[in-house]
Amino acid sequence: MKLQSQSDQDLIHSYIGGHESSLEELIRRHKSKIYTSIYLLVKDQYLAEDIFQDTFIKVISTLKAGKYNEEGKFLPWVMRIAHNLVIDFFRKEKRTPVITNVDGFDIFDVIKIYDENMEDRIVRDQTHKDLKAMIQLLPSEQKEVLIMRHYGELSFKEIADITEVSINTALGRMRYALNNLRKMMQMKEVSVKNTE
Amino acid sequence: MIKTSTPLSTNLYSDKADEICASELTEDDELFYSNYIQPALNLIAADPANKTVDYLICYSRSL
Repeated sequence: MKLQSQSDQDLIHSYIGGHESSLEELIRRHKSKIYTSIYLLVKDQYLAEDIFQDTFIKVISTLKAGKYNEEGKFLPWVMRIAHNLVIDFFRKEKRTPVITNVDGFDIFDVIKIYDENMEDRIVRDQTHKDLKAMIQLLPSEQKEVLIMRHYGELSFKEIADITEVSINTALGRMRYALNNLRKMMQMKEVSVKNTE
Repeated sequence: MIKTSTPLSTNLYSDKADEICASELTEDDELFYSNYIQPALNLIAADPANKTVDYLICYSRSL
């Protein structure tokens, strides 16, 4: 069976059984979600690369040691490891995430967009630039829930466990995040067309 | 590009508590999330550098 059509669980079994290519497929399958989640929290490309690398070193070590918990799903498990490493970093640095980049460069500005005419592309670029900036303006706990729900595909219960709050609080943070984004969009009169 | 379109109220892991909580989200919340926020989050996703991935693959093979 092709690697691409195998489930995460099958790939994990195959990897533990000695098939290194299964790990490559797992990384390929989930790297964007995990890397983007880390990047949106730490706002530094190089730091995000480091934490992404450390996350998978832990994943690899755990799998190779046969300590992976079969009950959990792979992506939420990896997201939990990444989240803990981000928290560790901020604890060590004793600082909070910053909104602006040090060098002014933003990796998301160079994302390619295909099959659009120039006008659509400009509107869409601006809309997403605005939305991205607004997401960064959210309080960190609200941003965290939004990122974990979307990229990590975590349930509210899992988010609550990871962030050590009740489920109602996790859900409340999501609602506040959405309300805040809606308000910011209204204030800035951001065009919400052509977002797809 | 990431293409995640799971509705906000979807009960991802058949957890009763999660189901109850997620059902409290309003239709407005759901529409706003699926129409505006999800596409934006999908679009701003990025990949780590190839060398980072290559390092991990080498690291795994070295163990």
